[in-house]
Amino acid sequence: MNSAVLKSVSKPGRYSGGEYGQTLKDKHKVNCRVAFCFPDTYEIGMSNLGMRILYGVLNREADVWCERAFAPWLDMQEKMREHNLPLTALESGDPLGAFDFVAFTLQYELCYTTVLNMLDLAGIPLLAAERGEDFPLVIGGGHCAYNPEPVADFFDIFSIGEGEEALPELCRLYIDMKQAGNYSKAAFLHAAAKLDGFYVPSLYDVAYKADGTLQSVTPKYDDIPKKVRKRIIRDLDKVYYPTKTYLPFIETVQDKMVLEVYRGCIRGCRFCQAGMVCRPVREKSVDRLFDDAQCMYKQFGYDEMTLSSLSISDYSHIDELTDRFSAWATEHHISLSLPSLRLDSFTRELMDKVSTVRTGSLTFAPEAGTQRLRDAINKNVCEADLLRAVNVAYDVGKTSVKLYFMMGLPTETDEDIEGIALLAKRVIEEYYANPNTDRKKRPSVTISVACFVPKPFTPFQWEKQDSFDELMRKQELLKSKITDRKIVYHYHDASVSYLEAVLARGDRRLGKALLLANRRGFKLDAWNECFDFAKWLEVFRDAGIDPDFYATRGFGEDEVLPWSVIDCGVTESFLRRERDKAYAGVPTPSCREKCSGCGANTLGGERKCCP
Amino acid sequence: MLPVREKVPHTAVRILFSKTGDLQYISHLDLHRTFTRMMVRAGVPLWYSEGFSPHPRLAFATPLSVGAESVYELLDVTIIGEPETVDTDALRALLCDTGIPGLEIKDVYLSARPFSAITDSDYEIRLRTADVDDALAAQCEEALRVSPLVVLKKTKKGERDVDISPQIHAVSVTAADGELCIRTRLAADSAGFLNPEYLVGVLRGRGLVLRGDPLKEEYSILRTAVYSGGELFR
Repeated sequence: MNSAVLKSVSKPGRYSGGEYGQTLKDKHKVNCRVAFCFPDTYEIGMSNLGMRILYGVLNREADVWCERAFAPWLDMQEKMREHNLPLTALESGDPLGAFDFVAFTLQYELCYTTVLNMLDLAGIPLLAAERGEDFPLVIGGGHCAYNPEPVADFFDIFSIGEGEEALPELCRLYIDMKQAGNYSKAAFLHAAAKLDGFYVPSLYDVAYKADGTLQSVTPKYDDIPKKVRKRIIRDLDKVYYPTKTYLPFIETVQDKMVLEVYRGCIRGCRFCQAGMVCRPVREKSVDRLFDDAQCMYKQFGYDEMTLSSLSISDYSHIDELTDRFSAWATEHHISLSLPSLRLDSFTRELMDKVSTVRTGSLTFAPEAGTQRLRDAINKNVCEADLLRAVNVAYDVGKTSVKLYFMMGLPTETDEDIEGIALLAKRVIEEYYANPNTDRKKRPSVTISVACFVPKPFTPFQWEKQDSFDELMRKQELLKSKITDRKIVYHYHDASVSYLEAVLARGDRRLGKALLLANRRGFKLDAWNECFDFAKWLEVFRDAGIDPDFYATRGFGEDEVLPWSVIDCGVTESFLRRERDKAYAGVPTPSCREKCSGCGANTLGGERKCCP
Repeated sequence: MLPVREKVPHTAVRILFSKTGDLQYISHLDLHRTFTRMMVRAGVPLWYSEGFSPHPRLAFATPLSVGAESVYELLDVTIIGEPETVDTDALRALLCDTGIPGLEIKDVYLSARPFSAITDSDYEIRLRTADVDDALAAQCEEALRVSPLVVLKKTKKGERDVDISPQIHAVSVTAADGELCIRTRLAADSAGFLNPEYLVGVLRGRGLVLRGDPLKEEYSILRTAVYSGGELFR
């Protein structure tokens, strides 16, 4: 990158590359080049574990070179457009157009405009159909790929599920076909669609009914699978982990060692997509985790480590793990943090071992304000759990607690909304009831309330989202119920959640709107600086799309869902059963207590608790 | 409950290093973090402060702005051990390869002189710009020797006009191989630190340099030495 340009933008360290631990190869000596793109800023992308893992597994292949690319910040985009500079990868500085694959990880729906913006900055045609043999193959993966349809027009291939084994296989197929001389884009896509876990949207026909719902999604050829089953790693103790990888110079959002403890979740909260699509539960052994941690410490010299998983306290050897880690961490001045702590597992013993709980405030997620609704969403925690957890915090001198909730959940009534305020009030009262607290200090409770987004592959996938007006009414209602100034109330922008619902539940027809959004300069929608809801509504209107059709319309249980071409292991009949139980207010026991027959065990793997 | 920590004997060791290439885009704070991790990896016996949140102690001599390189940077790092027993040769050996392109440790030694004694820095500013010749060099030198030399300084309190001529202790401009080279000594004491970017700004503002295609015209700033009074600071 030109130094005059770098000197004229904010945080040039985002673009200069050269980080410790990056992988450099001779581009003339590799057979396949992958530009792994994160459709957000450097600081966010460099913190992403999935990207680090896939960068590592691809670069283990001697003849594959995987590099990184991120979305430039607004000032840099302006400079690039002004001087006609294409988007480049950090390692080689080569434009993305020079790569064999341009791979995007799709972590959240609001990144879609950034994906298109990055392709555009690279001079790569947005529509897959318009990219001939001379352009890179554009591939996507990550959680949003479980419903790839809204972005199907722009991608050649989607990788469904865990990619550690799948992506090297795809590269191998590409290299083999190139070397055998039988490569053409069409032949390759056809062959890729026959590999396990790859969805090639151009090889499927989509038909619609007169009412706008889907008629069918059918493969164009007999040898293309009707459904694409997600890939999983069988044995997490044997899989690659990036203990040696790139280390950013500049501060990133998660600037610490991340140790992935297990995949999947035993809980099955009915709103949670990750809890469903990451099944079955597979754990790493304490020994492997300890080895990886020591290796990472030697490689990086980080002073902070976080244990990552969907619900860390559900790890079956959590006591052994934290015991071993806390002694080691203290010796090396490493502070240990446990995100995603369930409030029913929060104990004094655990708190003493984990340093981040010693500093900072504590966060818990009751998700709903009444027991009835918590049972309906299968959160499986009760008020007594919460009060016990906050008392543990108060006992050691904490005065502030953060609580996460959602509003707009299925079956929700005004009583549930008011319950959020009551629960916050109980948490404050508990401070004064606790004999160990300092009465000269003032307790504070921050409640953060997100808007429910019905996501594919959850028991709530058919549910409608509350209308924008209804969400606003509920936000105001809650505000009016909070009279104590010791309670701080934050709520999410309902328009963002609405757009998320549209993009999460959409079908291929949304491609037209996304294309138009790109032409109108949309990008970095996850940033307040860029997100403009009024302009989004104009885009939908001009593209002839009714966004309510996807967000606030409930989907019929007999409807063909846009994501029906994907098989994530969890069966539709299980999701229906869970939905019925939600309406009956009946919780489902965790996988460890009793198998609920979700179907994910048929994916195989070294499962921790399912049959 | 926090563990009771014994007092550990510790000594500040001075490190002379260069920060060049892409590292010029790394801010002061980021360099601090990068250095700490690099020393942890190298096995330097860092001393951790005593208190609620123990952390290593690193102190950099004088700030280097983002976009400037340097072959003369100084850092004091506190390590475990008495001053008499600290083995600077062993430390130098540990740090001989930082693994970070552009970060090179040039010397490790004990020094009692505080960084507050620093008064000036020498810089070499190279401008690849249009129409370089001796006449342009002379014009530029003249423009930088004017007193008062008023520039608009952006500070936290807003923008204001400042005369920077008292902070320019020496300046010469020469032309060679299509490049202008400004050699200058600028104030670097805590009261009057001057960012060398201002000199480039003055010449650009006068329309003397960097008028054409910004992709073809570039400049680089290199700190070459740090002084206390008239004498090289070690």
